Amino acid sequence: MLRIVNGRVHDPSHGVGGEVRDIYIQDGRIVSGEGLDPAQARDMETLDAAGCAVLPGGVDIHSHIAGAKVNSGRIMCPEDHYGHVRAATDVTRPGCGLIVPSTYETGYLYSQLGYTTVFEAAVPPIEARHAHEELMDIPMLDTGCFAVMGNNYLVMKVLNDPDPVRRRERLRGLVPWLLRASRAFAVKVVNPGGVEDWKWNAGAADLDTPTPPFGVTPRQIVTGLAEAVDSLGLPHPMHLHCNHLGDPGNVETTLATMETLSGHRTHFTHLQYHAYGRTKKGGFTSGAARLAEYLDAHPEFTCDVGQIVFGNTLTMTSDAPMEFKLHKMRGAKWGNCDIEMEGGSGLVPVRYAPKVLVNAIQWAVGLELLLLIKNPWQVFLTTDHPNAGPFTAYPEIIRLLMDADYRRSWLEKLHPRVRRRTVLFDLDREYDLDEIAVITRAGTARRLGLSSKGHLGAGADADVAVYPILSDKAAMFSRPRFVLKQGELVVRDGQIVAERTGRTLCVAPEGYRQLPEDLAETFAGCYTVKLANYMVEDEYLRRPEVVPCG
Amino acid sequence: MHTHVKLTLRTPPDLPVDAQSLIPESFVGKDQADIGALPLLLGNRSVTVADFFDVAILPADPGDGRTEEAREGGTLHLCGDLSRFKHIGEQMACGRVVVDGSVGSHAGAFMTGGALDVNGEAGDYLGAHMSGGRITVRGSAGHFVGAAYRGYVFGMTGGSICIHGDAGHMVGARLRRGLVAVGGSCGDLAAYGMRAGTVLIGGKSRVRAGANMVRGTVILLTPPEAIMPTFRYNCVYCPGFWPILHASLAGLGLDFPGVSPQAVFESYSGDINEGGRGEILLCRNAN
Repeated sequence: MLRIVNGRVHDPSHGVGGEVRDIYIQDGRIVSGEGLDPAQARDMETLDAAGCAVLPGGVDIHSHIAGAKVNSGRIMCPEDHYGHVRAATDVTRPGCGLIVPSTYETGYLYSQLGYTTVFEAAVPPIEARHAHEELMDIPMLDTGCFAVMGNNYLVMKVLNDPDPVRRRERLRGLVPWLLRASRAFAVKVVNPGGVEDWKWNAGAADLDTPTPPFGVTPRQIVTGLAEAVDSLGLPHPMHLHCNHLGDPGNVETTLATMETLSGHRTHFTHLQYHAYGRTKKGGFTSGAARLAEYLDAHPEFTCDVGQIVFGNTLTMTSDAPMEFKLHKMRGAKWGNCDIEMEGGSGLVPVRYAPKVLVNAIQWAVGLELLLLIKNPWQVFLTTDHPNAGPFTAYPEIIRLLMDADYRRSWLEKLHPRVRRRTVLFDLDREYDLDEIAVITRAGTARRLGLSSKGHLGAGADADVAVYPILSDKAAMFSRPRFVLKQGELVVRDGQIVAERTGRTLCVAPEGYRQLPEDLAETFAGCYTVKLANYMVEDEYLRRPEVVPCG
Repeated sequence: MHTHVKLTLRTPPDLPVDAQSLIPESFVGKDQADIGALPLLLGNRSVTVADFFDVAILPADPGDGRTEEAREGGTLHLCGDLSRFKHIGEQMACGRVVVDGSVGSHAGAFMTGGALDVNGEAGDYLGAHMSGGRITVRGSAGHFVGAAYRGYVFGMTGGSICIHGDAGHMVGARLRRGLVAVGGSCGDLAAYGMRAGTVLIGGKSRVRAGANMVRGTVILLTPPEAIMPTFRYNCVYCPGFWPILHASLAGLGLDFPGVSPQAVFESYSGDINEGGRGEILLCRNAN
């Protein structure tokens, strides 16, 4: 057994807010200390957390850390690797990169921030084997991936069925089949219908634009998939990247999507990119207040932010038309991939600069969402790594949330018109440590349906992060005193001291065991792989753990 | 205080040596023992300067002292075949490095100031990403002179590189600013994807000079076999800058017999695929 003593425990799931408590760990799980013999406790291995905050291990609900597009990013941006090199030690392997780090480096960097579980946010089922191969190579973290379905031919073919009852039944069979084929954890929808529309048209699909070749609309896609996810009782709701990402005035589309999905559990991802109003001349303004008001009234919805981080980064998304537009706008490098029957993807390096008005507004909108949405269990901290910035910037964002004076000090560094286009600098709210614990681990774990993560109660996974309590919150969260993964000390004073292999989290809802004949025919006629080679086999999963549905 | 350090190579190594420490800034104010202890990387093993070189601290060379670079940062004089020594003069900001022999790849990369004189041959990526200073190579250089490393949009962004001999492929690829002058011939794709600046080739240039160039000037004193079809002929004229550039290159010891300061050039605009704002100047007459 192991115990962590003298630390101030922040476990919002159990209403513990900074009380000095001891945490006991046995066999990789947190156990109750009640009834423990004091002599036995004294003989345990003990970590002294005096002057520290003890939090559950971080859970990142949306990050791009593995798969075809991440690997394309590594190939496309070798310049990211030149300046960020980690030499091998007795414990760690060498690695490189910051924006698109190598696999081992990804695990180490996350662990050094106190994160212990991370989800890869977009994996087309046909690319899932590659994604799992990379996830297997990422140490220190429990991982999982979301299967992209919003532009999937088979899904759209089923949605095209005019009989609503048969349509629901078939979708309820197909979605689990796709999840099992990709060994994924949740359903991801990216620019529903828009990516497929781009292959045939301009790619600017509105909610009611029929998408070729089946003529289904984005509204039909999101409602159909949301219903299927709800009826299957998947632990995580539909993870939705709305249409018109990055366009001025796209808050109208986002609100319309929310109204359509009202009553369905839905997670709106990187909402910052979908929260822009439009000036009379077509410029950007913040639409965060309207979205915050809507979310406050709809507890079935959650969001993560996708907070902009100033500096160089690389955008990578399954929203291929958006990336093409970004490439034409910036003249930057561009990578594109047509993922045959399942969508597309693209990559474009960008630099977010505080003196560029649009970037400054984007930065402010992300913080506004975090500060305006009243319930911290409904909004989570992400940078949509690496799209809005690398996850290594989380400590800096936490400081912006916890220190209003520091936040205000940024005003003079930003484009002068940002003050008129946003309300950020009128907000005085400061997060406390409990709220930070919610938006970085407790809330995300709950929304992912992970009952053994994000809290420090008996039976939870012994994933624990211990941070020294400092006035500079960026320094505090960038160098944990201890990080424990499955009960083993892996980080001490910000340095990796042991490497630990994580688990792969997936789901197994009831659905089609085999594709129906008509869908199998479509598959055989259109895909470049045979059906027999499509399913990801068990050997591609590292210590799989099936999270129950229902 | 002016420093003049002379390192004489005893035996050339069998493995490549990472010699990033061989810049004047590393030597200023150090005694012989400190200089001998400076680190090098032989393969994947750490070694020291003294493992390979005889170290001598000399009185200030009045000849070197006349150069502005040497007055500012001292002189590092390297003797021997250093063709397996990579990154010599990398990131140097001041002073002067003189090499009596050949250097390996990445010499003068990311240089921001000072002077690197190589009295021999140079390897690939000579002066890659340099933003200031001057490089002179008396012999030939490898591929990617003044170019961008993989993934970067811009290569060299300032300074000048003067090669008396030949150069390899992709001379000045993705050049953003500055001058690359090659007295001899060069390989394929000279000035590929160039954004701005000047590339001058005295001898023959192989295929596709100026391909994908956005802006800038490529001067070819020996007409190539063909100009890419994405360049459009403009006119014949005598550029106003040519007499100045001619004199400046002559000052660096790069003479082009038969090309006078009043030479006439054919002007072509291109690459049309990239907007057609760049130009290739072909020397039309020898006098």
